[in-house]
Amino acid sequence: MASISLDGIGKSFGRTRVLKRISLDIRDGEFLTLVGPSGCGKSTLLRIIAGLELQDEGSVRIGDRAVDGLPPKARDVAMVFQSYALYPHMTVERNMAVPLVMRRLGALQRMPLVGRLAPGTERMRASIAADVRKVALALGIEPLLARKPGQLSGGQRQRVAVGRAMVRQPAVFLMDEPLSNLDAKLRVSMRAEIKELHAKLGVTFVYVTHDQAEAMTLSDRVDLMIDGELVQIAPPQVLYNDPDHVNVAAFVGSPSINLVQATALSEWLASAVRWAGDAGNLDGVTIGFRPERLSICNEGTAGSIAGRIRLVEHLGADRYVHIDIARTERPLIVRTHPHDGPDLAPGATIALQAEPKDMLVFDAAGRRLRKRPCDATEILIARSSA
Amino acid sequence: MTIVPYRRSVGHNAAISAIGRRRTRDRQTAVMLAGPGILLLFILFILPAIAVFAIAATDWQLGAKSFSFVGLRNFELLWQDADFWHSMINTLAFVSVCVPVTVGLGLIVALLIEAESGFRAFYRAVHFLPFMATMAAAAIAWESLLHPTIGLLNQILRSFGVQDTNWLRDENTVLPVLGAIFVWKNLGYAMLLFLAGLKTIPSDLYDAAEVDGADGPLSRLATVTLPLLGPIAMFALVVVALRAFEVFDIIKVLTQGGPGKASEMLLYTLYVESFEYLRTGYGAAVSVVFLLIVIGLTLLQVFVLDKRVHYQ
Repeated sequence: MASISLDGIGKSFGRTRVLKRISLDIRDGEFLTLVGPSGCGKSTLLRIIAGLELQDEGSVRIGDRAVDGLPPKARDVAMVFQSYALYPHMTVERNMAVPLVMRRLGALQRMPLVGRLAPGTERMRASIAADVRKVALALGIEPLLARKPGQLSGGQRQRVAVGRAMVRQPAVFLMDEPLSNLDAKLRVSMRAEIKELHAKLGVTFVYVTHDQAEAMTLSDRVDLMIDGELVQIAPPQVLYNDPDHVNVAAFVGSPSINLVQATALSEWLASAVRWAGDAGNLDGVTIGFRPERLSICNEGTAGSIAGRIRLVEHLGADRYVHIDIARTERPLIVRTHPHDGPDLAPGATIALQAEPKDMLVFDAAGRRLRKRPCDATEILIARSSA
Repeated sequence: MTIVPYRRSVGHNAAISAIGRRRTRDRQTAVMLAGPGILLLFILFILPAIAVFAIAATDWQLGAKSFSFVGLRNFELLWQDADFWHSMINTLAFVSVCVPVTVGLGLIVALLIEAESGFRAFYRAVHFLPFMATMAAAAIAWESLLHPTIGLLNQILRSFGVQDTNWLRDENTVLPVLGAIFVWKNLGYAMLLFLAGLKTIPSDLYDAAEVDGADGPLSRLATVTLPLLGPIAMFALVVVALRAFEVFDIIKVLTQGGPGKASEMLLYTLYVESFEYLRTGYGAAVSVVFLLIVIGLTLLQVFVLDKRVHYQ
């Protein structure tokens, strides 16, 4: 069991700065996900924690010791790779035994044939085999122990990779996109298994993914990284409902948030929301609406904005309605229940409503405007609490 | 309501015959595409092989107008021929020493080149050059290096006070020297195979080994590198062995099988019997033996490579 503390981690590959002084505290037993678009540096950060990559600046502490000078094997971490990285020539049993063999047996004892003669080898081998079997039983892969990775399905390989990580009871689990090579259905069920595994083991998990659904469902906290910087670190619900940055809002949620230039909505904002201040205030300001926070009403309803239905997508439990409104490039997507509201057909003219409290306002640099500095937002907040 | 009895429609039959026509057309295309290749294979390889087997059963001499069938007589002679056995033992000794040395050194050189990033292309080229050289020309260069009086090797040894050796005319040194030249020539080829093999090992495996604790050079070799190079090593062994069995040019240029028959090997014996003594039937029998060895090695390769490790 161990907490992890990163202090000002920086890393460059040649001229490219992939990590820009990242500081982060991961609590003991926490499930923390590093999420972000590809190339944001999340895998590099994980590899630095593992010790597979050396940082240019900053330091890593695992538990109560600085591990900067330690090789991966001395850091008490285990890692699951995207490709699983199982040794293709070894059986599942031998694959899972490698971490124990390397730790418990000396160089002489590991030698083929000769090793058998060294004192204690047989006993050690037996205890390793017992430990491997115990983990295999727990993961339900015991029947596969004699097979080689090439004879396993993707899900089975994934489980073996987790088993190899578990077998020596590390203080920290590092997982680098462990589910991304699986098909969609398997990914969902393995996701649940990883969550259960974390609950059972109670150790610290650091999980890298580019899949926001994995990040949202698995984590205690999500760390969203963009361009080598930590943009926001928060529990999944906070990340979704209360993003600090327009990029966070855009990355989290499916279908993604509707982002509209405030200038395109100026009249509506003035009439419906009583947006205070002059139009100059709206320059560069972006307003975000989550698809489920918009509602469709009849044309001409007070405080609504007129629109035209472009497309209706039926997804069974949900219905996504794409609506064009004046002066915006892309349609807004509204998520409704299939039986809610009026009958919707492409081409129909309808209107949209939104509660002021559901509007997420971002300034020109993409930062979230909560109260200050824009007085316009103050009005928004004031009205929503009224 | 009337019940319409089921009947095969005319359209159904028409579809069947259309599919049949298409099948015939596909077959014709296949024959047209593969035909020339099969014909050439037959003329250039299979017919000569059959001819060799046939000639081996005759007492034909090259250029002779007549010959008679002697059955397995040539093989009987071969069995009793001390010179043939001498040549065979030379060949086997040559192969069993040169092949492991070539492949082993090739592996070591490849690992050394991969270990350091600097000058990689340079080292690769340097080691591969001998393989590109024409053996006959390179052999002449070797001859001058090994010359008993003016050769560079003896001159260097002399400065250390070592007595002159006539490397290519001494029956104790001639085979080792030919072996060294073979290794020099083929090392680069084995190295290239291993370099290509090293590139196919996913870096994730090295990372996993590092996290698992196999992070020393030896344990990394034992856990990842060597096992994953296994199939390549097998391939290299077989190909280099084939090349060692067919050593001919260095013997022809440097020693002509001498001194005495100290450096005579299978392919050279075959050549001498067939084209110098003109005992073509007998030479063909040697060819058959040679062919069987090559086929055996090839089967070994196919058999083992079929069972090679699958990389995920």
